[in-house]
Amino acid sequence: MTLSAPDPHQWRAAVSGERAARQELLRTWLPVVTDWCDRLGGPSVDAEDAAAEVAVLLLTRLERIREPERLPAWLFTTTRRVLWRHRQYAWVRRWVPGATVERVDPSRDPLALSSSRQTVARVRALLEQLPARDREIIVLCDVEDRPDSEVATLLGIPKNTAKTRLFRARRRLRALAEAEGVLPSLHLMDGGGS
Amino acid sequence: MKPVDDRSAVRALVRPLAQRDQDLHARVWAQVEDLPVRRAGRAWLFASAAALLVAGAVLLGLALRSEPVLDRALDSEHGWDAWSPTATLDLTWQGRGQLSGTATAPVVEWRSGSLSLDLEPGTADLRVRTPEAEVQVVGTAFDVTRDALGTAVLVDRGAVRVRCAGQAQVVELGPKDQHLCLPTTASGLLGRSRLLRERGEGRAALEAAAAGLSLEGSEAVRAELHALRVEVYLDQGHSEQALAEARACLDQGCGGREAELRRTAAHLALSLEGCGAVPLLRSLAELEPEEARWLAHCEEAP
Repeated sequence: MTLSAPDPHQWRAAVSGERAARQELLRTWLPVVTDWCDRLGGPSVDAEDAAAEVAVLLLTRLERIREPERLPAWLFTTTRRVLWRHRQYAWVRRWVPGATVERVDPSRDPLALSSSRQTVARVRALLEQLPARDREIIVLCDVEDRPDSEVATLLGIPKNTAKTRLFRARRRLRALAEAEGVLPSLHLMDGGGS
Repeated sequence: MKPVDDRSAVRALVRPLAQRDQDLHARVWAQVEDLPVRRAGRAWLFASAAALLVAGAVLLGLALRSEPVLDRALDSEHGWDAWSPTATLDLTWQGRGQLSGTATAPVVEWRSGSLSLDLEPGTADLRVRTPEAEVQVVGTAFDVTRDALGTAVLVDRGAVRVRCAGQAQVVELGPKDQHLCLPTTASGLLGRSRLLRERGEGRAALEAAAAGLSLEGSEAVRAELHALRVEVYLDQGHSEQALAEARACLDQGCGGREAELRRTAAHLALSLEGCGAVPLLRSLAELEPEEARWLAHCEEAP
């Protein structure tokens, strides 16, 4: 999965406020941002609200992103900031006496509470125990399968640093998973790695 | 056997996260698709700041409340079991849904089946939502039934306010009053018209199918709605209307129903228009012996 910068013509149209171009920009990038919010936000963050907030920021600050090539990294950094702020709100709510605020989820369906959702919840809980930068690199490299060069651009770090960080993050996550007994049984013989 | 490396182990572990949550994507898109698309001006900034302040106040208010949060699946396995989330609200159900909110503001999202509620007046702001209706309870005992016909609300005692989806009007219901909110999608109206036809209510089935055709829907659903109208007209012995309906479907594209409706239309045209059915007969992919005889007969005629 590779992210490519918007077409310069479409970009100019979007920056100048053309409705169709802005809609197209959202249609292309909102799914990417929503996945980031869902995968990086953790259980305390409402991914729907966070993704909508990033969309608002994108539409209102578009002209500040000078070149279209910078859009992917800008979006990732903005998503990261928004998620951090939502995590802070969640933390504050946790320490204020009273109920935890919970949104009514219109899609919640008893029949959908399947075992696959439980597996996803277990993996999310493990990721939540990692430091944010480990979580980010695991999501970008191992969940979204992005190439090293793109991950380095999104995170704003050199490629070799990204590789080292990924190596350490994998080691930490595996250790956590083994300690909690949630590592899936594998029958892989191959020992390659990026 | 080599030990599994970290990369393979982690990739296998996180693989379930790679699947997209389609419901989440749809909800986010619904939130943002109508956002103002012009560059932000001062008014937008002030509006955002005001909205944030209000949202903050609401969050703080909610956080300071010490009520327990309700979160319970109401599923069919419970049958007609009774269960009381609060001392003042009794629920019995057969079907499925979800109870959420708080003890003083419970919300029931009802998916299908029958639900009975008995609420002591003035003790809670209870709401029941289905895709077709929102029922606000003033203090009462009432039933909500959701099936292919729509969402029906029947009040036993007390009063409720019902607002059907897509309608501004709020209907107030008193004791023994009943109100039905119709499905709001083409496929929902197809389900309603099928059930009405099975019950022998042909006229209502025709109306429901016509309402479905007036909405946006896939070609497959539209073809089913046309086909259902043809069948109802035939049940009623109205061959001319059935032929007109079949032709309307064939003109607009009949999807998987095309071959069947083409043959029905050809037979109806033969009985009503004689050799006027030739174009329809010629358009059939394969002719049955009787149809071939008719076609030959018409083509030989001067």
